Amino acid sequence: MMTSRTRNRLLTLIFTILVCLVFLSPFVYLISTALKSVEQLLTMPRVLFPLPLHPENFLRVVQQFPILRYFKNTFLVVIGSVAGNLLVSTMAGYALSRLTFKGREILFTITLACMFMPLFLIIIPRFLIFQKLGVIGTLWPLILPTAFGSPFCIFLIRQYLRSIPMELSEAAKVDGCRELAIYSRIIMPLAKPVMATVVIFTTQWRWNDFIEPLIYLPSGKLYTITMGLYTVLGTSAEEINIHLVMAFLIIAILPILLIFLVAQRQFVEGTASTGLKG
Amino acid sequence: MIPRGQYMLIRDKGPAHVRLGTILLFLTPWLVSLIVLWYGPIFYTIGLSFMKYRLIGGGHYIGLDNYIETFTDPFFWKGLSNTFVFTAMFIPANFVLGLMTAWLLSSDIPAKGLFRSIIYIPAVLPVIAILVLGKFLFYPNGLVNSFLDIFGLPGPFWLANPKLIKPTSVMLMIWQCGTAMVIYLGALKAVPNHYYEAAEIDGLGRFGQFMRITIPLISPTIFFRAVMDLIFGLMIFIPGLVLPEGNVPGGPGNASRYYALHLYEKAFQRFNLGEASTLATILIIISFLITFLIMKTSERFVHYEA
Repeated sequence: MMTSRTRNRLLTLIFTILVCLVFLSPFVYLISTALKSVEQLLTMPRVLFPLPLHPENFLRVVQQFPILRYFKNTFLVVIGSVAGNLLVSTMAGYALSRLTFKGREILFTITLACMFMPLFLIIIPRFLIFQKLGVIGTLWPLILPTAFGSPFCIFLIRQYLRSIPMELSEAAKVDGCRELAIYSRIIMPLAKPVMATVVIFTTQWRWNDFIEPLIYLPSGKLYTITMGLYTVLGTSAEEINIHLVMAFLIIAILPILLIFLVAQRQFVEGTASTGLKG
Repeated sequence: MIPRGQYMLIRDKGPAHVRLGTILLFLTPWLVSLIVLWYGPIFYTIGLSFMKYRLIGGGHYIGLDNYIETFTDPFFWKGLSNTFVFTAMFIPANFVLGLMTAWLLSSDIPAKGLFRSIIYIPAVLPVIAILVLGKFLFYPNGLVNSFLDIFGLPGPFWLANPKLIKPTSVMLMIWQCGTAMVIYLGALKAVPNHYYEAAEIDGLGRFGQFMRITIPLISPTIFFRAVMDLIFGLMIFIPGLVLPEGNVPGGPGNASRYYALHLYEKAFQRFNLGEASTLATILIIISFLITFLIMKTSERFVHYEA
């Protein structure tokens, strides 16, 4: 005889599994479709395991679309953004948490407010600025805004650095250490966990970004992977090429999925920390 | 006496000095960014909204002409109502699904880590990938309609029916509820256990506990999520570009011509930057008004004391 508590647990478990199945089924469809031939695509009812499998679809995608160029462009954007953001955001986060000066809290509030600033309210002037700088037609407009610091990363870094005891800095100062040396030799080595989170989030944003590439990139030569996916969708004679679109999609999201599997904790904890300020 | 160029530090442990030069060394790049890339553009956008501005040839002041043009443009009103309808469906849907999954994962079941990963994965993927995959799921003979067919239900034309395109967009966008789920999960864990124990002694059932204890205690998080989802909803754009059948942006029948899509087309396809800035300025005002309204009413139902 089951107690009501056990029965509740069992019902919760069954319900959770059902929800997860709903969340997963599109991925099953995605993989299954990417491995089908055109004939298998048209077979109704749908076959879950299309035999024989057609993994050569992936090869065809790589041959048919300039996917390597899309990857190269995306990598350049990610690397530039991550490098700049790491430097600028840790420095700003350091100043906002470990240097005391007039107006520090106001500056922090002003920084936080940027997190609530939708892109479309600022994108037109940004476009004009980049046009003046003559960098429309390059990848710089995708790199510079993030490379000059991100409000969310500054927030994460500030919260983290506040937890490091001030005595550490003071002791170093007594020993004659300058602020820049304290930052680079003492505090930053201790901040590796939050820096890892910053790297992961910046990579994810830049990899996933679609709106900014759509606005800034005039030609296919500079397209990032998300623009590539959009292009493939537009050029495919829809139903006939589903298997190729799906294979392309898998290749496009694979790097992000791998990062997620390796660094799941950073994703979850970084995201959860945004809710704490509620 | 404070020497020139230095700031006094007033802390419990007595004064220490940080030179202005040191502060600027650390903050200059971010200050430049704040002015040039964040706050400057807001004012620039507002300024442009009073100008006739083309990408080539620059612009000149034209007063309120852009506003008159905008308010008499039927696409402006269509975009506004489409965006409001989407947001009004998206916020509660994302709230219910996010909180429900968090609630399930905070209960006493095995393999929680695995379930959490499964629900969270869509949230780390690009929106464009979600939508491209979603587009094929909702095709006339796609996975969704095949599923309905099992139960003998007729599958509608999700992407070609003006009445269904927005609900379809919402269904796909809440597939990314993992972000909300993770935040709610953190909030649920922060609710002290003894509250539930006390309620159980008082004979409150699980549903009663949820409504009377959980919801009030996590209300600041719910409020925070509502504001974030509001901003996301008002900016909705990509579904209108990608989802409509035949790749007609804003289709079918302009039912997914969202405000931001209208703005994008004005600015970056017709290069009418003045009018696009007017649209952006109106959106700034709307966002402020709604946020202010939520703040005011939230005082009544958000409990900041736990």
